[in-house]
Amino acid sequence: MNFASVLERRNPRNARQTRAIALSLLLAVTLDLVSLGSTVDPLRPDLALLVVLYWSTRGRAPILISAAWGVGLLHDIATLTPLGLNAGLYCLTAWVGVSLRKRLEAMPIPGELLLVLLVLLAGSMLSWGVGLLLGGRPLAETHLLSPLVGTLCWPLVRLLLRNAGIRRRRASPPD
Amino acid sequence: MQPVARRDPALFRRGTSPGTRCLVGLALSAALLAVDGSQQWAVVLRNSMEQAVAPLMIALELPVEAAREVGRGLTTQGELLRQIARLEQENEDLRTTARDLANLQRENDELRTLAALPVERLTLLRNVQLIQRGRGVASQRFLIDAGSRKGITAGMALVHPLGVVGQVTAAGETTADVALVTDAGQNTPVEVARTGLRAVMIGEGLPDRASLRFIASNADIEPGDQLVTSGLDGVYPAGMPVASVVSVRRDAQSEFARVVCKPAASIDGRRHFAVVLPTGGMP
Repeated sequence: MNFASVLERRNPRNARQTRAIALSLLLAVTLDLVSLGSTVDPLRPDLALLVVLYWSTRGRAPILISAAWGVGLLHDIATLTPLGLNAGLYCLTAWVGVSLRKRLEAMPIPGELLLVLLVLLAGSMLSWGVGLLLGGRPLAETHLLSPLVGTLCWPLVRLLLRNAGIRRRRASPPD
Repeated sequence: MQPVARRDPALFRRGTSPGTRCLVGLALSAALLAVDGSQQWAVVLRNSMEQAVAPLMIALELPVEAAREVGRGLTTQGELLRQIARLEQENEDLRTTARDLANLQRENDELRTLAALPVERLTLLRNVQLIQRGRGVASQRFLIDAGSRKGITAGMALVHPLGVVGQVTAAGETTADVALVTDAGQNTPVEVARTGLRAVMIGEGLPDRASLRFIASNADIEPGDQLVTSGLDGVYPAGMPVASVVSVRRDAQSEFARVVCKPAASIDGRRHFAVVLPTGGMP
C-alpha cells in the first residue's frame, strides 16, 4: 500500500490532484533546466514558478507552501543561483497565490493576466534586488521581458494544468 | 463503520496557517542566502547537492545536443563552402598570429632572463566540459564536469584558445563552480597590449560586458585596444587575451574615464575548456 493509494481512499480527488501537482512541478523544473542558448535563456519564463502560482490559486487543495519552497531550492541547486533565492521566491508566490485565490476565481481573464504579470514582475524585482545585494548585478531589460513572456504563457499553462487535474470519466455500465 | 474520531470534519483540523509557513520559508531562505558561499559547510552541502543533480543535467543536455547536431547536419552546401573559405582565412590569420607570438615570446624570454625573473608558463591541468549554465543572478556562472578528485581547486583559471574564460570559485568532488570574467564583482588584472597600461577589469554580471575601473580620463586607451592578463594576481597566466575595449567615455566632470570592454572568449556554443594551474603571481 503506497501513500497515493492511502490518499485516494481517504479523498480520491485530492490524491489525483496531488499526483498532478507533483508531476507538473517535476516536468516544469525539468523543462526549466534545458538550455536553449544564451539569447533565449534570459527571456524564457520560469515555468516552475508559473506552475506553483497556478496550483496555489486554482487547485482543490492549494499547493503546500513548503512544497513550493522545496521546488525553489531544487531550482537554486540546478541553476547555480544562490541557495534560498528561488526557494524564498516560490514560497512567497505560493502564499500570494493562496491569498488571491478567491479574488482570482471571480476575475475575468484580462484582470487575471494583469495580476499574474504583477506577481511575476514583483518576483523578478525581488530576485534582482537580492542579486544586487549579493553581487551588484544591474537591472537589465530581461528582468521585465521574462515576466511578460511568462504572462503570455499563463493561458496555456492554465489550460494544460486544468486538464491535468481532471480525470476522464469512465463509461458507466448500463443500469 | 469508522470510529467517530476518524470522521472528524475538516473544519476542526487546522494545521499551520499559510502565512506562518511562508514566514518560516522566508526565514530559512534568508538564512541559506546568508551562509551560501561564506561558510565551508554550506559550500560542501551545495557541491554535494549539485553532484546529486549533475546526472540529470547531463541527461537533459543530450537531446538538445542531438538536436544541434541534426541542425548542423542540415547545413546547405553553399553554407559549407562559405564556412570553408572563412576557416581557411582564419587559419591563415592564426598562423600569422602564431608566428608573431613566437617572436614576441622569444623576445620576452630573453628580457626575462636578463632581468633574472622566473619565466611564467601556462601549465595545463586538464580539459573540462561545461555541464550547466547558471540562470538569473548566476547567469555568468557555470558548472564543469571535474572536481577535487581530478585536482581542481578553487582559484584555478579556465582558459580557451581565444582567451581567459573565468575562475573556479568552489570545487566539489566531481563538479566545480566557475565564475566568468563577466560575473558581477570578478576582478581580473589586465594590461593594455598596445601601451602596457595596467588596470583591473570588473565583471558586471551581464553577458559580453565588463568595465575597467580607475582609468584616468587622460589615459592612453581607445576603442579597439586589446586587453591581456598582467599575471599580477597569480591566477591567470600573463599575456593571455582577456577582452577588447568597446567604448571609452571621458567626462569633464570626472577624473576617471568610463571604459567598457567585451570579453575575448565567450562561452556561447562552446563546451570544452582547459583548467590551468595558478602561476603564483609576479614577485
